[in-house]
Amino acid sequence: MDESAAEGLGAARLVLYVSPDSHASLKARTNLAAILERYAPERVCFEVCDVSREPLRAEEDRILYTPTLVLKSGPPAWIVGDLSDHGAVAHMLRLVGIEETS
Amino acid sequence: MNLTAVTKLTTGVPGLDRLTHGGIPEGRATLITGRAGTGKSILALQIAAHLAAQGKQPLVLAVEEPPEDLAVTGNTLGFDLSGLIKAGKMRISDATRPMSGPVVVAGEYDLGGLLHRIAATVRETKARVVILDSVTALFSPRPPQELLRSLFFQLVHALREMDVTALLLAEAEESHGALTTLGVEDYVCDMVLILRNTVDGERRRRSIEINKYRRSAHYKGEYPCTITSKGLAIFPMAVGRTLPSTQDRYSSGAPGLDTMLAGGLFRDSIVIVRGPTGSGKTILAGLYAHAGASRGERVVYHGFEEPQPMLMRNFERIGLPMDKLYEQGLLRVICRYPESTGLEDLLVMLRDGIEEFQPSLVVLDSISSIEHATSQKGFRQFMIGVASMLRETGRGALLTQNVRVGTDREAEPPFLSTISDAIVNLDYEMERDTLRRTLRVVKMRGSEHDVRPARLVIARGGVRVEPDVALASPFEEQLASSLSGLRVLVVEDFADARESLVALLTRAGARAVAAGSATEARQVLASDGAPDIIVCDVGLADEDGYSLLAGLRRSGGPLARVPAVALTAWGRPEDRERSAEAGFEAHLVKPVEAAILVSTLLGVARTSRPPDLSGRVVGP
Repeated sequence: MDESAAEGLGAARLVLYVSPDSHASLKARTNLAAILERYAPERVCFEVCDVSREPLRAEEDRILYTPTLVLKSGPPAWIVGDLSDHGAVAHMLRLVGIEETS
Repeated sequence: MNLTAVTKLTTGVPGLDRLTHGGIPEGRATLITGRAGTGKSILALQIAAHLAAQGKQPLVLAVEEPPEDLAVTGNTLGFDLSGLIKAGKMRISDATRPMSGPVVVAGEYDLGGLLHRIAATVRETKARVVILDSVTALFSPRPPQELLRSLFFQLVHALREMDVTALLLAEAEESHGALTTLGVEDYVCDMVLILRNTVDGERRRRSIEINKYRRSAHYKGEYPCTITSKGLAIFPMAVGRTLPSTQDRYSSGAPGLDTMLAGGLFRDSIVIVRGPTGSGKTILAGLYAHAGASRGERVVYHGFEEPQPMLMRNFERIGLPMDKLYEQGLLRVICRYPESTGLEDLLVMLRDGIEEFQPSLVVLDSISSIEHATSQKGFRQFMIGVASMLRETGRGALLTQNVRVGTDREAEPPFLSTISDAIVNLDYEMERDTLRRTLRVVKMRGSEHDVRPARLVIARGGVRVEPDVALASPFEEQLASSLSGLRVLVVEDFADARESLVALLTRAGARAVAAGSATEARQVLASDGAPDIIVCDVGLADEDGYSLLAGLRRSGGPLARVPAVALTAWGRPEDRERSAEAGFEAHLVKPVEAAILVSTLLGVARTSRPPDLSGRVVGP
């Protein structure tokens, strides 16, 4: 699904950049999974990118730190860190008009 | 701990490889720290360009400003980064953070993103060197201290694992305070370079210091540096060579002087011409420049004392037309007052002049005007900078120096005699209505030379150096063997006086041995045995001549009976009495005429050893 199509469907595109053997990256995956449970699955299109496997993609998205969550639809936004602050993700999704379902 | 020699990568930054004994540590991290505006990026880019040319494929991570801006900075300084990038010899990667949207920090993180990107590029380009500009920007906003420390360790560790040489730039808040804003970087780096840019009075002073170099010798302390249109240049101490590098000689330009120099000056040698105002220093400098350019060499003449038209007119007047040489591009004359230029800038000007014009000879007329425009320390730094630059580039130079008439020349800064290969003293005196200029070669490293004074004759249509007529009198012929076979110990602490005394005695046929102090005199006497006569200065540095001689007289051995002549600046009756009391046979007052000295020595020697020297009488 390309960007405009995703936006057309009203879905947010998120990429979580992680690196292997990274404690913080592991935590971010767990945290993000928990957070996204509160959103309708069709409204959030989510993907994990391992920087060690796709360094060029990391470069394109200007990733220096892992984990970093990038909002790829609408105005760009980045969240650096293990996402232990759940509110940051909620705030990011609110930027593209997506609210929790419950 | 591994104490094996560190392998190094040269930096190509003028002076830095000397300070670091060969460059930055290969395969290790070097930290470049300093406040904003001290030239950290310039230094890093300059090293990058050098290493790119060496095939090290440097990878620059632009964290603080976009790669294009860094490339422009480098291009402006002539590093041609764009060209190197285009040729695939280096790369600048964009590691700036996104400006287009918010970056929120939520929880812990690591440098995985950057490190994997670096690793991928290193694999791709085979980079041997990674430059991070800067770590301060990478950790901004600043994470808690614990996290910061662990991130920095992670960074350095990962770079070590990649087996690359790392240059990490970090900002410092103060010039002489904490090394870095973050306060952790220097622990894990093998080398720490500090750049400073301070305002001293109204002048800006840049310096560089190697604060730390693990397992390697290096120069300690701050060294002046400057940022030129070609990047950073450092002026370290000249590790002086003792001899000019070649035995080739060339003409000093002054007819007659070459003969005194036993065939001219050595190529690459540094000559100091010193004398009071009006003694002919600039004339000698002009002859030197004119002769060089006339041989087809390129000569740069830095005049610090008078404007160019005046200088050229003066040369024209003494038969040294410079215009043609100037037009032919063989001579470049640069006149400016040192007060109007900072010393670092002057050094830069000299260096640029050498690089662009590629002269084989450089004239500085005079270094005294520089001395007067700065502090003693500043002058020393400048001269050492000049000397090291000349040595490095292998240029010959003539420097003129002003001394007051009758100045104690030994009192001048010792570094000047250290950096020079030859010294020519000029002087003058009034003789009836005319000025009689004298010239003497007091030092010529690695060569014989004529120590006798000569006349510098400046006449319409030319300048020449000729044997001093006053000295080349019939007396000179009589002098020739008057002291034949006499063994003389000369004790004199002023080198010039000592040398000329030894020269005079040698000309008179004596075998003269010199000592510069009472201690040295005792050593010479102990090893060589008793001479036939001792000529002793009274005011020695370590002990006076009276006590030296009194001690010898009391010794009771053969030395107690050696005749001795006191040679001193003091001529009062009480001085003569003291000499007699100490056991001197004669007391001569400086300056002493050659004839009087010789006749006195003969007289004193005769009274003690009449058979050897009977029938030889010279002098008045």
